[in-house]
Amino acid sequence: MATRQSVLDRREVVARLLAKRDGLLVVTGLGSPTYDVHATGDHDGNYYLWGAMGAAALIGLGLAQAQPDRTVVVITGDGEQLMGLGGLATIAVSNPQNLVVVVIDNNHFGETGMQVSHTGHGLDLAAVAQSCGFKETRAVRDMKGVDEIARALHAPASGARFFVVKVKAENPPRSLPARDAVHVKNRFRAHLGLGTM
Amino acid sequence: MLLLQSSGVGNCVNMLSLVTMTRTPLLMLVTMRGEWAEFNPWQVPMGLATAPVLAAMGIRVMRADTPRDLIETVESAATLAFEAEQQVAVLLSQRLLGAKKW
Repeated sequence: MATRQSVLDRREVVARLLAKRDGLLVVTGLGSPTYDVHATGDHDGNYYLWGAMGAAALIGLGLAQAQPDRTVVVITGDGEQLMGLGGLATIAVSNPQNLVVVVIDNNHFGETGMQVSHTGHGLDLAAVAQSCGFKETRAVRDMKGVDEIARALHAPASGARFFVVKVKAENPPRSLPARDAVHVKNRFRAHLGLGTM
Repeated sequence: MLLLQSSGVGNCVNMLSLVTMTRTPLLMLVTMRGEWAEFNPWQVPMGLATAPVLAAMGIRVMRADTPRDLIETVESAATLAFEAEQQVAVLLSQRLLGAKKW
């Protein structure tokens, strides 16, 4: 089962999602989503992951639980999310209203040489999330759909949300954030008004 | 704080890089299998590997073998984790817990 290719440019998609980010806290999954978010402009409210693949959405869950008054957006890829599918079940049980997972889905494992991923073989991550119990799930293939997600990031929700944006498979020039995890952590904590640790 | 069984340590090896790289305080309480009157051979490999795997990932490993050790060891580990901001695992031995009843 093959899926039709999307024409969306991942960098434009992520830039559109974060154009009016206000107070959003953003967790990024390795690899391209980390570079995509950094390419929109570095921000103290970004928590970049350079490893721990499969954990981006779960780190978003922990953050959403610890910061119930802030909206947490996880921006990750299909490959990274596929490494942590079980985490979707855990998130749906906890069901935080302030957590949004956005998968930038190019149907490929971009970081390891563009092999076709499970979503390229037809796996529907939004359907997986819905089956787990996410309150709102959707897959979009055009900028109108991306704009709807961008608006949804700032709208109230009844529970955890999961959006998939199908994009074309490409590796744009890398835009590399700091790899010092203690620095990124403490910068993020300062952004939240917390001391260093 | 993370409570898990020795087999679960094997499932989360790479995730431990998150806590060491970010220098996040962490206390793990690991209930051991595969080491004392174990019935299930499948528990043995990870039981043998739990302490070396944790140490290899940069986690300090402590161990409680008797009820007398337990409170003192866990208190000490909690201080290390949350005051000295370390990543510490306490292995709760299968001898202490008692073999699983079948």
